[in-house]
Amino acid sequence: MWLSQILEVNRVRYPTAVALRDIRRDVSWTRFHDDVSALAQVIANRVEYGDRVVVLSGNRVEYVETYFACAAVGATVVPINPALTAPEVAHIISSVEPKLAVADAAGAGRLAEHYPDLPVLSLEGLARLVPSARMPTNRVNDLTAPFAILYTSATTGRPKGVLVDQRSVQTNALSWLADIRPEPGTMFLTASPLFHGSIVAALHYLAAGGTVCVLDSFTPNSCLAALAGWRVEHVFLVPSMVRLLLQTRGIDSANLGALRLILHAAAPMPADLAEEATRVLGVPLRTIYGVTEAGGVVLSLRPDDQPGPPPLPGATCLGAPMLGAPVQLVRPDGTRADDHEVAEIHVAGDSIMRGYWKNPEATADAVRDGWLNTRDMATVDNHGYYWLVDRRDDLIVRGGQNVYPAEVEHVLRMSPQVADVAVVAAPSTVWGQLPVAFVQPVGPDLDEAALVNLCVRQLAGYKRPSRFVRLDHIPRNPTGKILRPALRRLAEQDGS
Amino acid sequence: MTDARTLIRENLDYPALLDDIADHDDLIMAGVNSGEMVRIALACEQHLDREITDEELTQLKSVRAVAELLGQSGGT
Repeated sequence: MWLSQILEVNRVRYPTAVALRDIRRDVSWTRFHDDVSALAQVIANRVEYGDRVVVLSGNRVEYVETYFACAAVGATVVPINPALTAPEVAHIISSVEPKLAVADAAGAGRLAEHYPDLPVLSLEGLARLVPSARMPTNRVNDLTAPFAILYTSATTGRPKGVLVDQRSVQTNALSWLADIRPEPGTMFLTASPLFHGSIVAALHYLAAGGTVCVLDSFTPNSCLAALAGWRVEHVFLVPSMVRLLLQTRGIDSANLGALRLILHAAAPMPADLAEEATRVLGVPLRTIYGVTEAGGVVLSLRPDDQPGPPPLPGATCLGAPMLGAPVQLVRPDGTRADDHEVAEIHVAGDSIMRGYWKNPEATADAVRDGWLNTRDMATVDNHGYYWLVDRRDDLIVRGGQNVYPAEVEHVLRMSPQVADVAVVAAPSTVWGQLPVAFVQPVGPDLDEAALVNLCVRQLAGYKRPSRFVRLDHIPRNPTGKILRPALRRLAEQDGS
Repeated sequence: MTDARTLIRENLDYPALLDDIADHDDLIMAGVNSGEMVRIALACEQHLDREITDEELTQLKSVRAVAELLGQSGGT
């Protein structure tokens, strides 16, 4: 309902303005509407309301159109990261039992090899569908219809699907429009992959009547060329992208005169990097803190906010809550924390997920009485600004991509040579953090190459440990919990 | 002449990964992640002292492709 409204309203208001852009084509609002109508008819002929449609593809404008077409007919989109290995994809496919796939040539090849009975629509072919001004009869008449299942890395060994509805997207969009305030025609570049939860930012710019520019894949040069050539005004980047962009040849001579705002999220931005980015690019930075399970952005630090020094060493300011996303800090016993106390960030509101797909236990653990526990640790200062102190569940953020130790440990434990294992974050200048595996071997020898091969077969590349460190015993407390802080210190010393 | 394997190895978080990758193997499918691919592309630019084109970037999928871009006949 929400996404279809975006199409209908903006087709009337800005019929010839560009809604979507990639290196292959510009799509006007009229064409966007008609492309989606044509695709929605194709999908409606193949799936029933509530059926899942997986998307396995690199970035292109047709990917965005697929989100809208599925939403129009009540199909649930399940975007899949093309970097996932065959076992990781199999886990998702077996869980969501899709009736249809939409894929680029590479994705279609992979699906045909492993799932020959799954019908696949060619994403490249969508541009050749005959546009239709008539949307199929809308089978979605309420905002709580499932919209997408976004798979996150896992806290418990296997990835979990975050089920969100259109109400979540709408609530977060209205919050974004009130706070970030993009205008009709604002040129927004999404440099992130479209399977990522940050897709909601692109949907918000479309809600504003803006233009969403889609980068096929991030490289510093392609991003710089897009920023300059497409006269991008707002861009969403993760800190690693900002650092690589600043190292790009031609950054000093690039015409970035249209650029007005850099939104950054996913990992704390080091202060020196923020200063350099502001100086070299000449535009303000805005910190946003989002959680997939919360439906998008929860906290935001505006460029003109002046939070002062960190209340605790190493804390990162996340700003104040977005409208529509009530936030509170909660102690482990469930009581509300006092100001200046470090506690877990809880979020409420209509944008939080409907739950984890087919996982009521995990849902009940994460959401209680309407409050989502992000498990990130924070404190509040005298001005009401939230400061991130530690990440949830020992989360490792590698270049903006989440890696949960449990998932990597689960794979390494499959090896007959591993008696025990713990994966922790080590600092990295470029990527922010890198996963390091501490391994307690069964025998006297440790075949690292075999462990790497195991990871290559089972895990997407960004989850693979950058180092393997042999230990006689993985340190644990009396209750058996791994002493990760000690291992993090060891990883930092060992890598320096 | 800079060896393509040396250049790639220097830009992998886990350099030994390259030991099991043949010259014609797809680097991504062999476990190289997208961040490492970005670093490899940047290192190629540094070596060539010029920007590489989108088309060259698209082709940069194997050790052999890196070697060819750098003007070498083979990856090893």
